[in-house]
Amino acid sequence: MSEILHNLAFGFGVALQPANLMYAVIGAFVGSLIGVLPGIGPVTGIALLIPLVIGINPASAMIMLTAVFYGAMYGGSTTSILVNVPGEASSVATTFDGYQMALQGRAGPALAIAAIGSFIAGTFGVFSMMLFSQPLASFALRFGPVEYCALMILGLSTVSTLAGDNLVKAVLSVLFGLMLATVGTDLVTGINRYTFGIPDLLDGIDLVTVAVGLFAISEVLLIVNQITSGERKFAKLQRIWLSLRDFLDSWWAIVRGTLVGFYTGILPGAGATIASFLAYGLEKRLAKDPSTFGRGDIRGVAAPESANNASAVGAMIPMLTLGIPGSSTTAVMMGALMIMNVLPGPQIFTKHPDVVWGLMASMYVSNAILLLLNLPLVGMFVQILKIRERFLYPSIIVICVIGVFAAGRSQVDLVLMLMLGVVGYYMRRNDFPVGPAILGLVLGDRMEQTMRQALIISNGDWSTFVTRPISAVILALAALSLLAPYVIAALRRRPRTMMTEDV
Amino acid sequence: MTADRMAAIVILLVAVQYALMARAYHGLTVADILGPSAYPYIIGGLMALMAVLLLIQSKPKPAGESFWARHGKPILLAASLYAYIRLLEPLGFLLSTFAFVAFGHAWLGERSWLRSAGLAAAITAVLWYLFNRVFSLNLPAGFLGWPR
Repeated sequence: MSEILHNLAFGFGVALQPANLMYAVIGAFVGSLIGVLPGIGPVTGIALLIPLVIGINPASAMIMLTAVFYGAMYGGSTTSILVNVPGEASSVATTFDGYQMALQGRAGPALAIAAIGSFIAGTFGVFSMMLFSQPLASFALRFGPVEYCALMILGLSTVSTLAGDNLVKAVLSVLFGLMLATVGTDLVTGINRYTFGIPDLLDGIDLVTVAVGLFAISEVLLIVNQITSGERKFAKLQRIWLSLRDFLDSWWAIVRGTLVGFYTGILPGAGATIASFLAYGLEKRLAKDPSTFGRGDIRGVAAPESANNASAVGAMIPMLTLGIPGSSTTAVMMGALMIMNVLPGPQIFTKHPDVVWGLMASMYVSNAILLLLNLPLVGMFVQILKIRERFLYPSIIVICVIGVFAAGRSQVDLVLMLMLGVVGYYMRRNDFPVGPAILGLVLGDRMEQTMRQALIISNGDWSTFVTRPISAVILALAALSLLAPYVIAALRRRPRTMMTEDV
Repeated sequence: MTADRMAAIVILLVAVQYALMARAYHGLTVADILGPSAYPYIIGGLMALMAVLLLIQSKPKPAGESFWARHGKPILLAASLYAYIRLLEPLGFLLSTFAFVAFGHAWLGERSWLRSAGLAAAITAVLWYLFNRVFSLNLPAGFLGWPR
């Protein structure tokens, strides 16, 4: 226990340094902006900032990126409540009751409970993270290449299962990411693979290019079909306040949302979106009168908002301790760490304690900053949404072009960005999830390296993956996660529905 | 043909081509048992398998709107973005961005050319100042060079 307190103090020492505090404030502000703007989400936002933060030290850079991540979530919930436009997928569940509350003139309490719920959830999350991560990391110190390879397979399988309705399409998305990761010089032999004689591809395809192309450019391409000249309906915003009754009403929703969110977040693949929907569903199921949900029930805001924040913290645990990101946002953050030569994994606690503990403490600090920063600035963020879409999207594209050009300084990267944008557009129009591709890209290199090392150690014997106990258990879990949806569907299917299903 | 079937066939072709290309990649040492080609074989093979599964599970669907009605606007946007990217270096950031943004405003529904151009000029100036001057990011200056 005293060790945790010691680490906590050390972490706050890093996070509260004036420079880092400044990075957190900037990050929180930029993040809120990203959360409010349609078309740019946390993945794109963080990816675009990578070239800007690469020069500063890793701890400060991660503090800023984490603040962006958090800010985007706050911003997303603000627009969910006030204009029924979820800036991020993770705040979709908040629109159900949040916007209804706003229409009833209760936007103030809705925004306040979202902020307070997020704050409580974040606090719990950070504290649990400090408890959990070090034991997990010391357990993982025993892992060799076989176990790591198995672990990455597990991560990618659960991501596939949870990413969408169609498992085949999600697996294809993962494979697409793994395929992109093989482009460039092979680290073991120095052979150039899939470079097509283009020198810019020798270092591989840049994470920034892929994230911006698949997420932002594809989003804008999707949106142009829906641009209307009509203005949005805005709910009136009065003073932001919360009565004691509102708080007492939502207390248990916050507690349950926090727990659901945190544990969902630790699972690889189940990000903030799933956490928020689970928490909303749970609250509705437990309510004495579920019919109040969807009509402006404050618990319907408190639960998903606490859950998505808690899951954001939870998702950091497997990313930092094992190097297995659980969501596309944490995957991009891991990519940023790797670019700065900080390799996530159990050694990170001894090699880069300032990054780990500073990051954890800064999540807490970001929460406090956002609480102070966002509520007064809500009015300003809403003004941004009043900008006509036709004036917004060309600028968003230009910002993406600047970011990708700054990261790679080449025309090839920009053309790749556009190509990936078109691919992403096609994928999203046809229900292929794009998130798994980012995870595949980030994990791909390491997966291949560990696979090759494992077979060197075993002298080419593939059975090493199932004869080593930890690896066997992990792979069994991976198989289970891929088969689970089919098993559940088969168990649920009754003769009558079976007949109607294929019609 | 439905989108899924078309995707499945394209993915299958890409996967096979990807795996075939790996044949040219040879390892240098005996110790590296898998070498640089085995992993691409696995990825390509799995991808081909999934493409076949996608082909099997896809159901014929009655065609909706025509191709151009669905994808016309996005294709035009992608084309203008391509033009912007190619002109970025020869024309420089300022001119090409101004043209792209002004064109975007007008094309996305702004009737007044004056307002499109005015806003585009302002946006270009702000973005250039912020990213080039404040964050000192390397942006292409073009044949005119930067304003002094």
